[in-house]
Amino acid sequence: MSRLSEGGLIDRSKPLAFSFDGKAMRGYAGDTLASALLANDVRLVGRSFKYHRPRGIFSSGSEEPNALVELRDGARREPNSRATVVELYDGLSAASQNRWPSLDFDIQSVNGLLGPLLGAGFYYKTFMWPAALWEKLYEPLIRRAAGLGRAAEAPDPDSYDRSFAFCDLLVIGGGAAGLMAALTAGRSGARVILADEDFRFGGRILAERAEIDDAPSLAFVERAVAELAALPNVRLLPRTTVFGAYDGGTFGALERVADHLPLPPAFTPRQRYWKIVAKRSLLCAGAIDRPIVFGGNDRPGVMSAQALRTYAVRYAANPGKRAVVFANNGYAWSAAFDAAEAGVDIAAIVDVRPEAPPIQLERAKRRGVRVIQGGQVVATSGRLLSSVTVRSATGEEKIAAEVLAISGGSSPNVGLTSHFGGKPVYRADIAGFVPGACPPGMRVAGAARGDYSLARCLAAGAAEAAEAVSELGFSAYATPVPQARDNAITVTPFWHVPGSRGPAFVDLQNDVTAKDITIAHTEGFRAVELLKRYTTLGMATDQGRTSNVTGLAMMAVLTGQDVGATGTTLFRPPYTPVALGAIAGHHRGKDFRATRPTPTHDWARAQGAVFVEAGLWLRAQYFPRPGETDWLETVNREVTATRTGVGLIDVSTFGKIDIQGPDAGAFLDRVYINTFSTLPVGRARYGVMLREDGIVMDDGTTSRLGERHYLMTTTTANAAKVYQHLEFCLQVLWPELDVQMASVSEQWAQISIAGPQARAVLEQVVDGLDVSNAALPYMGVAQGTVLSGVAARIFRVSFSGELGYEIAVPARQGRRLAEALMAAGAPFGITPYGTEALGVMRIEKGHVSGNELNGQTSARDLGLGRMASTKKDYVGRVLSQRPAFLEEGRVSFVGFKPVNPGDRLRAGAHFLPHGRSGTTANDEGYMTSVAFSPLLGHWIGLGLIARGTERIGESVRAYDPVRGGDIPVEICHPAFVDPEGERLRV
Amino acid sequence: MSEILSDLPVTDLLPPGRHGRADGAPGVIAHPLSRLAVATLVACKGAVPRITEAALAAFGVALADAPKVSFTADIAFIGTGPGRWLVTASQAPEALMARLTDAFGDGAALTDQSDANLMLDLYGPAVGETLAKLVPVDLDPSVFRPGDAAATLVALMPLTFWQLNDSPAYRFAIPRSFAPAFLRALASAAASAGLEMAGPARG
Amino acid sequence: MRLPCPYCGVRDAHEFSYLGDAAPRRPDPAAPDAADAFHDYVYLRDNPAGAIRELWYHGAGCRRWIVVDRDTRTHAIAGATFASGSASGDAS
Repeated sequence: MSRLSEGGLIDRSKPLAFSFDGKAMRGYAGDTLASALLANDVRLVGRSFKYHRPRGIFSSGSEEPNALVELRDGARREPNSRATVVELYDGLSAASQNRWPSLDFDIQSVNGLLGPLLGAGFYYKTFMWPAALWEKLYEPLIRRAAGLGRAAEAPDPDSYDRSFAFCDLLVIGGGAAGLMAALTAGRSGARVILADEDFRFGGRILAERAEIDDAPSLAFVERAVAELAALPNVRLLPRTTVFGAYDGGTFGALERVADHLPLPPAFTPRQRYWKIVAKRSLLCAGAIDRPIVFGGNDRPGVMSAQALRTYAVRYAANPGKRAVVFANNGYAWSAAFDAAEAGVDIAAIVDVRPEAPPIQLERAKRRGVRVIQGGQVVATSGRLLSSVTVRSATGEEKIAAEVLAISGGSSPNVGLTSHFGGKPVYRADIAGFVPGACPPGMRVAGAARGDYSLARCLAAGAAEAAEAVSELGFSAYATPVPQARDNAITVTPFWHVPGSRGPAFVDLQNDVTAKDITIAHTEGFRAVELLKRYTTLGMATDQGRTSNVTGLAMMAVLTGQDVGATGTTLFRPPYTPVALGAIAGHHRGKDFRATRPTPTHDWARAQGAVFVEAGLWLRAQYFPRPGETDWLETVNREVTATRTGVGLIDVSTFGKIDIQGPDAGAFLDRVYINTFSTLPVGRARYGVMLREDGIVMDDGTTSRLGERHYLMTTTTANAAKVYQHLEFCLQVLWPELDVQMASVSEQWAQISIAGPQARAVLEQVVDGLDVSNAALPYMGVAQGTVLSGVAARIFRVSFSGELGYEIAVPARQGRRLAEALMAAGAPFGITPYGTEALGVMRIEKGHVSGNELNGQTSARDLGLGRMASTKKDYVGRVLSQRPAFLEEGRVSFVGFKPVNPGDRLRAGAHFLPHGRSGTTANDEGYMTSVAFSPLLGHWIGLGLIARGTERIGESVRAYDPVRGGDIPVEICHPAFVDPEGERLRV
Repeated sequence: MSEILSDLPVTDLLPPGRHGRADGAPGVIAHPLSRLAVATLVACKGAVPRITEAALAAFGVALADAPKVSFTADIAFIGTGPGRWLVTASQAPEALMARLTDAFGDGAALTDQSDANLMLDLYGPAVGETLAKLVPVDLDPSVFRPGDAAATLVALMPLTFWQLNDSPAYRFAIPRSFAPAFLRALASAAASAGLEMAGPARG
Repeated sequence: MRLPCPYCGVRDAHEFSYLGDAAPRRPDPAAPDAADAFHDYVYLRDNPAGAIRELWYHGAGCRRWIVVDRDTRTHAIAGATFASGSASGDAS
């Protein structure tokens, strides 16, 4: 065990058992998986992405490029979990990934030998030729070799939540600056949310030995958190990563509600996706340590100086027996001193600077830590790090060490500031990029803007928060800022050790080396955006948080530019990876989207209906009976029963729009191609509406219920679209019209009965209403009551071509009406039918439907051109007269029947003249709808073909290469049944 | 996630009874109202002043042309758009339509919507935290108060709701065909607090 | 993105449908050049980098068409009014 005997923010009274690669280990509450692994002497935790090189733990935060593991088992397995942020729980099980057969012996580390082939731009070079090998050889090879973890294969058994939140100030990051900001804003009365990705507030205070107001800084954290927790206007969100900044002050955040527990407790989600709307935001996300690039810098045991300090101080875990620190800045020195005080054996501090500040030399001397000034690490050795070779003025020296803690300076966590495109700005004095233009309403305080002093973090957090809430009208208290002392930190830019030995990695997660940067430079990919794409620098899941700055600085050195002029790439959301399941929340499986049942759904289910999705609706598709062997047999029976007796179908899904007002008729004249202002009260008319470009938008019947009262019906699919279009016409095009609209789609259940016996059935449910042919003729509308007092509207309309009525009653009476009609129709063999039989009958009748109203057809194409009024303007009139719509070769709507009656027709088949090949040039049109007609005993079709109406009787090929179809069909009139419409009028 | 949701057909209404966390008092109570008459009232062009006067004269209601509820013990007008209200009253739909026709004459379009919505009251100690998971509108007492109304998108479903009192209690008008899906979303959101689904009200 | 609906208040853009530039006016269908004018009206759109007034439909809210002043470069929203032109949106 490498657990330090004392100290740390771990609870030694709460030991936790866990396993890594099947091996049982123990840690404590307060550990991360990474700290627990280190405390158990585990230094090798994974294999690298491309070269399968052994890797250890590099960082102690969410920027971790190396220590990615598969967390949990079975359906809950989560690949690519960063061990550095996984909170340890009892029973945790984790496995290393991207290795085979085992972590210790990985066969594909041979990729290391192929390194020269896999360098910068290898996708574009190595595997270019022959191209045919890509799919069969190269891609599978690369995919197997270059891998991350394995996703779970079973559905996720846990639930995910989403929540909306609103606040005046969102504080992102709960370190010194964030806590002071939340306190200042919270005390002013503003609504504050403080989110931190860690499970404990405090940020770097948790890992640094510092004093605030002459007491250990941890006491400040505890006081601050206690006060914030007690403020009703402050919401604390620990374990919550604010991952994206979006327009209008909207932020996405992911709360890991139960990831730190063996299993989510009952009714508790695993994670919660927060959509936060904040009037102001304050980024206090701190900074991270950046590596120095040198040969052998990826060996397990090489970690950031900040990580060494964190593991030693916060977790009381000693990452290795002896540690060497290699740095270019004073912050790393204090990290070394803190680690030493916690019990880590610091073998030496190697600083590239020839002369380190005297105060630090003095502190090192006091602690007996050896210092090598002007030194550089030029090589490392050991499969797990065992020694470090240091070059200095006195020559080369090999120092035994299990840990090499490196720091090339700090990189402020500017990620969220660039989500709106703001380019980070280089500051030479700190050798780092600080936020440039921030998203509207966002401020930055503390280390995230390059202000590393603890004292100044506290002061800036308070000051920025006070200004932010003052802008919103809150009077911020003059919060006394706690006092802290710290020394100025100096840094000398240093990126890369020239002449060091062995592969030198810039991007540890994507295995991008110093040599790759050189290749990119040599081959001309010098702009940072090109460098990134050519080498894949910074394109891994960590977005290059530990590598981007170093990589582009090295490019700057090669091009002779300064780092600021070279610039940096931008960060995009999400800040850290987010599971899609968390964003979906409740909307998965059968709750992916709402399912809308019709008013007669339960009744249809009781009748054994098979249902089909129609948009969000679930409609009865057909009603199989015992003994029927396939759907076609059922549908044939339903069609025949309707055409010879009477059938029943729920048509409530049609859009229904109440249109009232003195100008209602004039309005309808402008949206339909035909005229409605002349429609008599108590009558219905079929109408067609166009888009302004002349294409048909929708069709349906509209009835006149009163002098200034119409009821429009739309197709099921276009209900919302037509309503929106009508509102556009009323509000934008003709606001002078006095028309009022209301959707009544949900108010009315509507059931259609059709067939020769329809009237006989209807007569039995109406309350003394005269529904005779004389009183209620074809396209007549009656209002009254049915079923002894239920308000009803009766429309004599037909889609099937038979004598038909649609009866509308308030939605809650729908089932009752269906049952009453079934009872009344029993003597006539009334048969419920579904959308399939409805489709067959409309094709037999030659009515257009969704397949024909396909966004490409004009009214004229569909044979509806004669309906168009020439006496008025309407939407789409002008452009429907364009030459292209009128030209001679234009398609028209006709019917098709197979020349050989046994042939099956296929929708989607294209029409070709006989004797011509199946090329686009010979294409004359296509089949839109087909059905087997039980009435005719063969398949029939509807379709669009050039000059169709002039070619009735002609034979063409119906060519369907996808399904191997190529049959002769005859062009015919689209109405296969009762073309004169006599049945409708009986 | 409530166990019942995996077995319940997506087209069925959540049955009455306790769902989600079963111990202790329910965090959310959902109470369907089955006898409420509902109508839409849309003012004719330029007729908002006339409608406002008529509402005051006929019902003693100071109608607000805003997303607010104007109500008396007898009748409530919920603003859903400019010159547009949802009207509710505890009486038969025909009776409400007759009263409104008498009051507003040809100054407004009236449409019976008594069957168009599931009317549902939501209240209980966890109603705020539950609605935060569903409603993309800020319901903080400093922002949304009794008498405020909103038409919005909840779990991808368009609906209207308003606040009845500061307990707080809210009334939702959910388009009828979306009611099963809404109740599923509600059961899911309220699972951690415990949901009591009341049977249909008699009133 | 969040849009300030003049009736409902500020709401998430998910509640709205987008149409586009609010500037084009439906031409006079009786004019001699109606065919050309309608072609321009339906198909020709400016695509400015900067301020634009555009039509949105608050379909999941008050069902009003509104005109939003937006900067296409920054998504900054300067304000919104009812498309019907009246202060109340009452189509009057």
